[in-house]
Amino acid sequence: MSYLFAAYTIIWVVIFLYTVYLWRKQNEVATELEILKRAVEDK
Amino acid sequence: MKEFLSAVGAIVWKDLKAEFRTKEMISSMLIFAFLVIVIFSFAFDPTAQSVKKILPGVIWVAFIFAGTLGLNRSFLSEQINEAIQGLMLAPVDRAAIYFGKVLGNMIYTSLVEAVALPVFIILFDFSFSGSWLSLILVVVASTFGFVAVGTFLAALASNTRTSEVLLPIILFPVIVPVIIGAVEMTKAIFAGSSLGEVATWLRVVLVYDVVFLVIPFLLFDFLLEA
Amino acid sequence: MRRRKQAIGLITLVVTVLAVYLVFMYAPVPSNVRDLPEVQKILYFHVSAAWIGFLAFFVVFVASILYLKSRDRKWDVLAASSAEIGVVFTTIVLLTGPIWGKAAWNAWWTWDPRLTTTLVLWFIYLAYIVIRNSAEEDEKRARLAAIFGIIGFVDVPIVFMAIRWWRTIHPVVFEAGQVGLTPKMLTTLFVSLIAFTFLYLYYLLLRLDIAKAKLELAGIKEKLRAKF
Repeated sequence: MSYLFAAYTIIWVVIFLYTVYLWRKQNEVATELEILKRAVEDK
Repeated sequence: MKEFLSAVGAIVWKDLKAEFRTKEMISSMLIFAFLVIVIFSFAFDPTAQSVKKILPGVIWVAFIFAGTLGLNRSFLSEQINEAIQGLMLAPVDRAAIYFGKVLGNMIYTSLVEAVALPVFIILFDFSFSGSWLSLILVVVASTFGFVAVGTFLAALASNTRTSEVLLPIILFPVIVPVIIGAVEMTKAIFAGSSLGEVATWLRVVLVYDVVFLVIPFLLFDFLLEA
Repeated sequence: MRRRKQAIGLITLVVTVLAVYLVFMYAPVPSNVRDLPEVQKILYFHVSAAWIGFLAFFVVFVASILYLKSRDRKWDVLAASSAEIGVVFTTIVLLTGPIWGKAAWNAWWTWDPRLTTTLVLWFIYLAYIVIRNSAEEDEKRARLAAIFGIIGFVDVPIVFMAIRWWRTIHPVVFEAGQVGLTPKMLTTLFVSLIAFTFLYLYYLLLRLDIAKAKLELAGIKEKLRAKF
């Protein structure tokens, strides 16, 4: 049973980490885009 | 067709001439191949009977490593003084450059193998009972697959920042079928098998040779753009 | 665009939860396996991840051809995104394979043809990503990567054949997972496959979004640079 548990833990950890990585990256890019756009408009 | 062949010939001739003026590359490849074998004999006891079983594998590791050394040079040397631009401006089909380079690399690698293989057999005191002709055929067929795809990927790698480091990383996974085939066939022929007994592997390697001569030929134009 | 992504994200979540439920509550434990029969349940997500791995690399192959033909940046972005996701899923296959192997045959790695092919595939697409990182200009990066995407994909069937024959020459100690699947098991596997396919789609949309925003960013920066 512990093998099964280990396998599924690994699967979900990998998926979780990759999802968080993508979300964070998207947030970063979106924020940067927002800031730049506002800065350009202010000029 | 005739024009194309003479263009291929011209490229081979130019590379051979440049190489035999200095003999830098051939000698480095040879020394490197020997070094790999010597390191292997320190890593494993060379007199043990079991080493004879892995000798074909060791030989091919040496060939592939030494060959990669040569492949790396084949397009990097054209980057100096933008020589590749001159080649590309020549009014011939660009595939001629690819075939010319494949032939050139094939000549260097075969020369290294022709010198190294007998020496390896002597160094490991290997009693060879198979047929030399089959051995040569097997080695040439396998080397050709390695060189055909290797030349193409060397051209690809030479376009990047990290070319020398990049080539082994992108080449080794792709040549897995050839390495398996080459080692299995060499092992069988060392043990005295005939060509017919290794027909399955020979077919795999020959299919590989054809596939990785045709596809680079189709893609080479895209590689040399810009 | 945003709506579609959220919808797919929601479907992914629902189907995945359903798949996990089926794996642990619905799928029967195989009766013809003697030791540690529950471990067979690794199969559902292991196989699904392998399927996504191959699908992702097929997408890389097609997108690479389309890029070389059309020179449209969107195909390059698709290929790059799919390759990265493919590496994530093949990593899952390579991590869960040995666990299953250890439990079922008491050896972490048995050079099973399918698992070994996956390993080589993994290396090929790592090479693809390394090429992307070491080319300088955008156009060149896209072109070189597309060329390698085609070469790599064409190589995979030959690798598989070669490794299979190689394994039949060497003594095969273990016969890999020859467990017949009952209808209930097949249903579970099928739902797991769908779950991971949606997860793949969701990741793809996310990655494409990020790439689009990055392109937009680069455009604005270029404009600003021209101004000053």
